[in-house]
Amino acid sequence: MNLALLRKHAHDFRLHLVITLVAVTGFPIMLLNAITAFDWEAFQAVLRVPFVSQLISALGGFDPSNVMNVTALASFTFVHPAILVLLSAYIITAATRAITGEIDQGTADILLALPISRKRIYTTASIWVALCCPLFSLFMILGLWIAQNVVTLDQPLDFARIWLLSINHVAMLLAIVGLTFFVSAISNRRGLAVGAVVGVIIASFVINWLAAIWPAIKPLSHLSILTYFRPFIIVRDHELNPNDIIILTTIATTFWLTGLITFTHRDINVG
Amino acid sequence: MNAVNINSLTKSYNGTPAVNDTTWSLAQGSLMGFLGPNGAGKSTTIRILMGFLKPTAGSATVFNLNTWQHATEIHARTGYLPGEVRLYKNLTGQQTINFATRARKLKNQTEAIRLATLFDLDLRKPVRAYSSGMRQKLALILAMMHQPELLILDEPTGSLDPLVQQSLYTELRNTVAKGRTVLFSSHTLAEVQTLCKDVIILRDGRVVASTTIDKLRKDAGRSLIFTLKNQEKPSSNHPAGLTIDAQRNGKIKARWHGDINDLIQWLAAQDLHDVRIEPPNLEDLFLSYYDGSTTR
Repeated sequence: MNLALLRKHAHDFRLHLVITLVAVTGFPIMLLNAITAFDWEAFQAVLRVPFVSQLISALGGFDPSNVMNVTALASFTFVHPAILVLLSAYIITAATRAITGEIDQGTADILLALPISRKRIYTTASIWVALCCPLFSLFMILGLWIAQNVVTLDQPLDFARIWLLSINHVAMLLAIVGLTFFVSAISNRRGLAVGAVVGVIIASFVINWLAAIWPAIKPLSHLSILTYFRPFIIVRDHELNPNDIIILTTIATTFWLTGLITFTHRDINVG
Repeated sequence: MNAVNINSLTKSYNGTPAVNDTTWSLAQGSLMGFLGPNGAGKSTTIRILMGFLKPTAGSATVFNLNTWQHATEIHARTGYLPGEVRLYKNLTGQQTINFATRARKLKNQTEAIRLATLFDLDLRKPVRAYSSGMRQKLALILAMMHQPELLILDEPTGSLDPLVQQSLYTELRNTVAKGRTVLFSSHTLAEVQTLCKDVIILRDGRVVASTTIDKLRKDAGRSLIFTLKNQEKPSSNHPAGLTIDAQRNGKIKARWHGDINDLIQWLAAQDLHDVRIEPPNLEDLFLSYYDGSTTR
């Protein structure tokens, strides 16, 4: 790791990070506030509508109408498409700017001429983005804690279960980080790298959704990163699925290491 | 000892060589011009020296360190100005220097501030507000602020005004006087001949000349125009060093390669009406390297 570079990443992304943290803190408060404003039975009825049920099932890994309590509802904030888009946007922006963005914009010539090895450049950028992932989960939990204190809930949130699902959440975010750094390391054009990662995430979501409504697609769901993040099951069973964590960490590590090897061995020709 | 050694270096892209089997070296404490038209392979060679590109064949070393395997060690002792300067637009000049200072683990910014004063650069402005000349100056400061043992400048003067160019030339001469080494890449001979003693000329990825400016001058020859009083042709056979290009109404255009005394002696034997001998035209010779009519 290189401290000068870490400081530069912090400087470059400070505003983006603050906005994301405020959004992930505020979102659970808004969501729980909105949900409690609805009639509980009417809300349950909405959840039983097949399309809604399948959509939430694709995101959360389990039919929510079977486990619906306040904590399960709260866990939905972790898989809400808005949060998924927001966090993916931060990860993709930061990871692609730090590697392929330098090449695309031509600043790599200045950066690479400094006595910082490519390994350190890649590692430092990765550490910055990877450190943000638990921070996002932490701020989402903070948002839920604030929500519990400002919104009138039928029952208290079970934070033991939420902490547990946040581990799965961080593992999923790290898998996206690993994938993004890999794509960033092999690309010369930032736009292409962003497009590729966004494509993979959208494809993951679509596969999960199709698998929920079309059993023939089910075997393909193993190819989707989102399959291995199942907050409703964690809330229901009060335990992590170690296989999910192992698979997500393996995806993260494999992609990240392949990216590192590629970046340290490739030619750098700027924009 | 050489600061740079390049041995049978080749860099190909999809089988097409950008640098083709070149061998040359750069002695420590020298200021060498690295000349060639656009696409000759200068920037590719420099990028190999900086460890940005891996050679396809052959080897390149800086301070006897392999440029691909020991890039970080080389960067600590080298300053580099890219051919196309792109800087972090979200930083100010000062923030850019602060970043480089921390990355290079420098104790102070004395040299950076001295250079900023010399180049008359306002470091408080954001880089996005800089003109191309100001960006060039900042990139030069980044390349020189750690007083590197080797300075690699890829066409450094393109965006600089003449006054700053002169300041840079003086700075480079001082740098070499202190025993440091400069590789000065350019596609124009004029600035290289005022600055450098040695030159390497590249064309189509190959070294077409590795010589001194003095030798180039000697090889360039002199052009002369002379008019004879009463005759169309010279009275006696002209010496071997004289090449007559054109003659009309007693006015003869020619080129001379060789000892100037032999030419004067021969001219004295002619019935001259007028004679004009011009200094060696280095640019013509240089262009002949470019178009491929000369190879050395």
